[in-house]
Amino acid sequence: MPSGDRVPSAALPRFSVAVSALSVLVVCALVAPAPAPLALAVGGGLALGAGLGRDAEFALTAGVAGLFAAVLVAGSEGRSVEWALAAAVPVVLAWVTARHALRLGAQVGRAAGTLRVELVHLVSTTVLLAAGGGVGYLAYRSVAGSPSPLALGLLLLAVVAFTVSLR
Amino acid sequence: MTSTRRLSVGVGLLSIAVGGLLLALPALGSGLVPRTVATLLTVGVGTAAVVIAGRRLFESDEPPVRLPSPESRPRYRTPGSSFAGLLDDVSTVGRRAVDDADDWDGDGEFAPRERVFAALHDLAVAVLARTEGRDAGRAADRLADGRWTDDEDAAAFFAEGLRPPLPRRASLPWVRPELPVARRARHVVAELADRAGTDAPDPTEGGGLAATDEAETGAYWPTADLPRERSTGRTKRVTVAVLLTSAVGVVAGLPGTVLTAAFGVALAGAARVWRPSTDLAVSRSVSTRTPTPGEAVEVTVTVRNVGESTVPDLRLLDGVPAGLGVTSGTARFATALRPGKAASTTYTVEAVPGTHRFEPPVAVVGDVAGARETVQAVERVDGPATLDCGFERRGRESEAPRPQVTLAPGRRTAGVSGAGVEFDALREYRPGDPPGRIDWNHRAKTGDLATVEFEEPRRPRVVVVLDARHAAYVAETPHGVPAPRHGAAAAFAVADGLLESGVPTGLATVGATGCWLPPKTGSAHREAVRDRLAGDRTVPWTAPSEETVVADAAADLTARLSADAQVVLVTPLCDDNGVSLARRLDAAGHSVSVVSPDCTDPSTVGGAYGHLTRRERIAMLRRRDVPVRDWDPTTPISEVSHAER
Repeated sequence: MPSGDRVPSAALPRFSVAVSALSVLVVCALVAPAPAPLALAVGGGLALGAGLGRDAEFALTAGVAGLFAAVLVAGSEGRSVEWALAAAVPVVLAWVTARHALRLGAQVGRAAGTLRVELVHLVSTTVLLAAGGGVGYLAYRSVAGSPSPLALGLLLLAVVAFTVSLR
Repeated sequence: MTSTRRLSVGVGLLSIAVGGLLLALPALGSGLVPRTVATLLTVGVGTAAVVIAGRRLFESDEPPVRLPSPESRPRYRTPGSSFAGLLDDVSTVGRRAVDDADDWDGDGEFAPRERVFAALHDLAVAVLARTEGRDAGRAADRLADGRWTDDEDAAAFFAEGLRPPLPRRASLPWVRPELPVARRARHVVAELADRAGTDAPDPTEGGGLAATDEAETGAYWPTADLPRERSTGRTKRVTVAVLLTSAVGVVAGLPGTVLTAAFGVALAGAARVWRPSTDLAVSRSVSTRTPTPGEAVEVTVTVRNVGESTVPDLRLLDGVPAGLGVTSGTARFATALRPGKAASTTYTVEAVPGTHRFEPPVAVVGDVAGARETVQAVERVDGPATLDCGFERRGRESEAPRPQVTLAPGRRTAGVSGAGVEFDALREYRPGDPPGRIDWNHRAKTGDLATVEFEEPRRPRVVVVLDARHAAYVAETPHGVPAPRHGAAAAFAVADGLLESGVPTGLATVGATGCWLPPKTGSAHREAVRDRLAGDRTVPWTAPSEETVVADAAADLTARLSADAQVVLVTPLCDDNGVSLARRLDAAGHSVSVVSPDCTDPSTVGGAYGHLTRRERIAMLRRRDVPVRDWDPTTPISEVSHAER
């Protein structure tokens, strides 16, 4: 969080904090039956809460990494691909809304009504995630049989190349 | 696009094409060669992905833009805060090295308690000498005896030396109790304040003033490096996550994991595709453009989207002037605007005298995905650019600075001799003197030629000198009105009154912005004086960053002032250099009188110390025949009567 942006009486906008907390709870509920992922998810959720409370970006990132790791570990224990995709959505939502809340709180404070901005941000992020996830899922479903390792390797190369180009 | 980007996009497209082909025709993908290539690709690209991710993770975020803040109005020192800081510094460190028989003129570092002792000793001697009519030597003796007061702690401070026994708690590690020296010093200040006849602070109140002894000198509203576009840091983290998870997913054979990379690519890609419009029209309206001091003014700011695309995330910080504090409402707001829509906010400020300029509002526009922000200052704002408060012209005469000067325009001996009517002196004849001025009686008596010097009739000229040095920027509370701004109101009252009655009056400031208006009369000159004093260019609301050397400033002034100019010096007298300035001007031959706004608050120990030292300075100036008018800024200046000698 850039230190130059501070408002002296910084207060986080309530709506984004509520959405973030709700997403964390959803993730915990989704990974619930297995103990290790649940522990990771709860730990990540606590770190996220600490990051919001103390305005620490690093705690926020660490918390979300924990939540994501929980989803990955739960996904590797025999859940379907659809479940992995669906469980990753609240993780990303929690992170994005928490960051937005921190920046809004620092730059504008709670006294001004920020509900409109937060709603627009939430809706646009959800739409983006749905579009991206949908396209990826369709591509996955259109693969006939199990793909060869070469194809997978090439796809990995494509993902890395596009990511590097999008910086 | 840069060449790396082109290369990466090309590689990506190629591998998608080949991969798609292999997916469509899986038969091509089996066999030994494709398998080794596949393993190499997976391992190699996976490692590369992890390495890139690691490097990006440890890249630092972009350097922050310092956004101006309407709440960070300049903060000022309060008089006596450095003394309060000294009291807080008194600790057990260096206690044993303190020797009561130290020679004060020697070298070496003095512990805080020694400095507190020196300061209080000087002040106590001065106060006792003044109030009890004794000389300094006897006052010092009474202090050393401890008989000057009934308060035990106060008497013990001077009588018992600087190393009173420590309480047991002082040796505990994390406890910091107040040491006896500091407690006694507080009692001394309370007793002296009582003795001097002002409200004494409560000596048992610990803490007291927060020692903010540096006034803020940074620019209040920095917009120099705007507009800036900056990344919020989200894209960096998203790319790190995508790279790591896809590497892990492919190596571990978890297709679901790799698919989550699609989210990341979507988030990162959307930032590149959609740029928000930054065409905004801001307008401002105020409830009254010329408020009276203390009146609450409502300011309404409206922002409209005049571009063609939606502004999804707009945060606006309005440029509240540096001298005005926001009392209710907030000058910041956040909104999302479709093309053609507008949003507004209202806040209230309390008016103080002066001409206040609104700063350009700062708009932060975020994009749809929340990955990049554009910070810009909106230069053109519709609506009033300034608020004018106070500084009205007076219609009646005000009192002149020194008692000897007459109120009405008329005659005064200017002390300059030359051509005139009244006899002043006789001097030796020089070739070129007008023959009408030769004293023939003298020639008849002594045989020498001599020329008569007459008194030149001259109008009195007055120059009002305003003290705006760094050390003069003190205020009663850290967020109050600083002394130079009160001084500007006082200087305007004096100067306008004199100009009204036809006395040529000039203006000078001592400080960073050296202003000089030579003494003149006329309405254009009156307007110029009013502009300089009411606006914030000559007497700014933020203190200058460098301290002015008083000797140089006095020399500059003396060079500019004509020999017969009188000086009215407006200074808060909260540091010794203000006194030095007055005395130097007096020594240069100008008759000086001082108007001093009282910016001290004697209700805390540090403030009481500042108050007492200021009174001693006023008394010292009066002893040197410089009249001082002690003015409380809450009363109108025209009602203050002359100082007593």
